[in-house]
This record gives sequence, structure tokens and C-alpha cells, in this order.
Amino acid sequence: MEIETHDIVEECLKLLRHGSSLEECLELYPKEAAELEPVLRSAISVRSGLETDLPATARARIRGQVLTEWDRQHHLQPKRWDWRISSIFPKLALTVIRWSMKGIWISSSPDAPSDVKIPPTSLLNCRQFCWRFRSGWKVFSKNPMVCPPNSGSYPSVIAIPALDSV
Amino acid sequence: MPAENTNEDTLVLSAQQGDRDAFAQLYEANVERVYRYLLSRLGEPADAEDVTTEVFINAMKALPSYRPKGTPLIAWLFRIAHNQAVNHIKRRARRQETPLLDTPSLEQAAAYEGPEEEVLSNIRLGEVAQAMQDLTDLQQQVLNLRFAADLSIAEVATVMSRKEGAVKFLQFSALRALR
Repeated sequence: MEIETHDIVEECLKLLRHGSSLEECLELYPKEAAELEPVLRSAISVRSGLETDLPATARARIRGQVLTEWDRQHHLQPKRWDWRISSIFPKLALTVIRWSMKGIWISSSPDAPSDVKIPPTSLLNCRQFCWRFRSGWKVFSKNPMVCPPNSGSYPSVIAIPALDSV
Repeated sequence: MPAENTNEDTLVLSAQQGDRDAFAQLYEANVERVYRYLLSRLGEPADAEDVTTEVFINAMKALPSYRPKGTPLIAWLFRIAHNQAVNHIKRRARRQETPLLDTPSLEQAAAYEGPEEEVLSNIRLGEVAQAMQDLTDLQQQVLNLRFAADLSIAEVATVMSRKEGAVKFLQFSALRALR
């Protein structure tokens, strides 16, 4: 019985909300009217008591605070981050391409029969040996390489790993 | 209702993409119900206003991860509002500014100085809040969501993660206890 009554209460609340009177609701459910009436009167009182509007000044003030925070979040941090991304990625991409191209160019330069071809990815292993060299120097070879004169503390002879181990 | 949801989903999507006006529209559409719910929970208009601000700022920060999933935005906002209200009540209890009881007394409501209509409104709120003190927390929550926030049974069920039948029963038992 109670399971049905709470469904009826909800139906009556919908009717009250759409402008029906309490009496009209009770007429629809004459058998349950005695039990429904105090419950619906409670509902009307609670709705009336809790219907407190947000004052217009407070509404505008809260809106201002929230949108100021929106501006702070969306115009400072994300834009700065976007700018960083847009500036870093092209530079990074260009550096990677240049490294790859350099590796390909160096390893494919046909100088001597004993030269070996090293894939660009393997250049990462030899990076510390290679950066001192520029075009015109034999960089990757089975033979020991000779560094240019006046190359600081670098050894004059650098051993390059055999092709098998690269 | 589906048209409203579609419109709301469009606004949410725009706001997620950084559209400030879309977020402002979502604020305007929901602020009144969030405030009423918080006022009924916290009792003090000033507290309700502060927490309403916190709710919308938190919603704004969490908006990129929000997915509608067929439920209205207000259900999500009330989850945030409920958590903020609980935190606020705990903070207030720790500060011991007011008793742990989170509803205004009739004297407090009547002593509030403001326009006549506002005073009457606060007295009504105080009476209802006092009457609701004897209800369980779940019953109070259902009445607040139904009558202060003006949510449907389905929306309340979503907010409270309960079945609609359970919400109807809680509503009925709460109203019967108040009579």
C-alpha cells in the first residue's frame, strides 16, 4: 500500500506544480485522500519555505567572480602553454630532421671502400663523437678516425664500434 | 526536454572548447537552483553565496573532464554543491563560529535585517529548516533537491545514485514525518 502511495504523492506533486489545487488532486484519489492531504500540505509548506531567490546583486557579483576566474584560467595559463607548444615543436622537429639528414649524408658519402653505412638511428650512440666534426671529415669508418688538429681534450684517435655491434 | 538537453550539451561542448559566453549561459541557467539548494543546506545567505561561487569555479575547472552521458548538467553541479556544502559545514564546525547544526534558528532568521520580503522569506526558510532537523540526512537531501533545487525524481536519483523508487519513498516518508 505504501509503495503505491508514494507514487500517488509524486503524481500529485506534479499536478500541484502545474497549477492544480490540493482539492483537485485529492479528488483524483478519494480512497487515499485522508492520508494524502497532510503529506501534500507538508510538501506545499516545504516548497514555499525553500523558494528563496538569489538576490540580483549577489547573482551579478558571483557571476563576476566566476567569469574573472574563467578569464584567469583561460587567458593566462592555456595561452602561454599554447605559445610554448607552438614554438617548441617546430624547433624540435627541425632539430630531429637536421640530425637525421646529417647522419644520412655522412654515412652515405662515398669516400673509401672501407666506409660503413650506419643507419641514422645509430647516430644517437655515436653522438658525442660526431658533433665535433663537420662536412668533409670522415666520421664513420671501420678504420680509426683522426680528429682535426687543435680539437682540445678530445683524443686524436676515436674508435668506432664495429658494424656488427652497432 | 530532449531539446533542452541538446541545447545544454551544445553549450557544454562550446564551454569545454573555451567559449566564455557559453559558460556564462550555463551559469545563468543553473545558479538559482544551486543557490537555493545551498541555502537550504547551510541556512546562511552569505555562506550560500560564497559556496555557490566555489561550486561554479570548481565546475569550470573540472569542465574539460565532464561527459554528459545523458544526464543534465545540474545533476553534476549538485554533486559538486553537495560536496562543497559538506566541506563548508566541516570547516564551520572546526572554526566553531556557529553550532554544528547547519540550519538557522527562527531568531536568527527574524533578526536578519533586509527588505521585508527577504525577512519573511528567511523566517519561512528558518521554520522549514527547523522542521527538517528531525529528518534523516537522506530525507533532508531529497527534500532539498526536490523543492529547493526543483529537480525531478529522475534527476534526484542521478544525483544521489539511487533508484527512482527509493527517492519517491524517501520523499514520501520525509513529508509524512513533517506533517
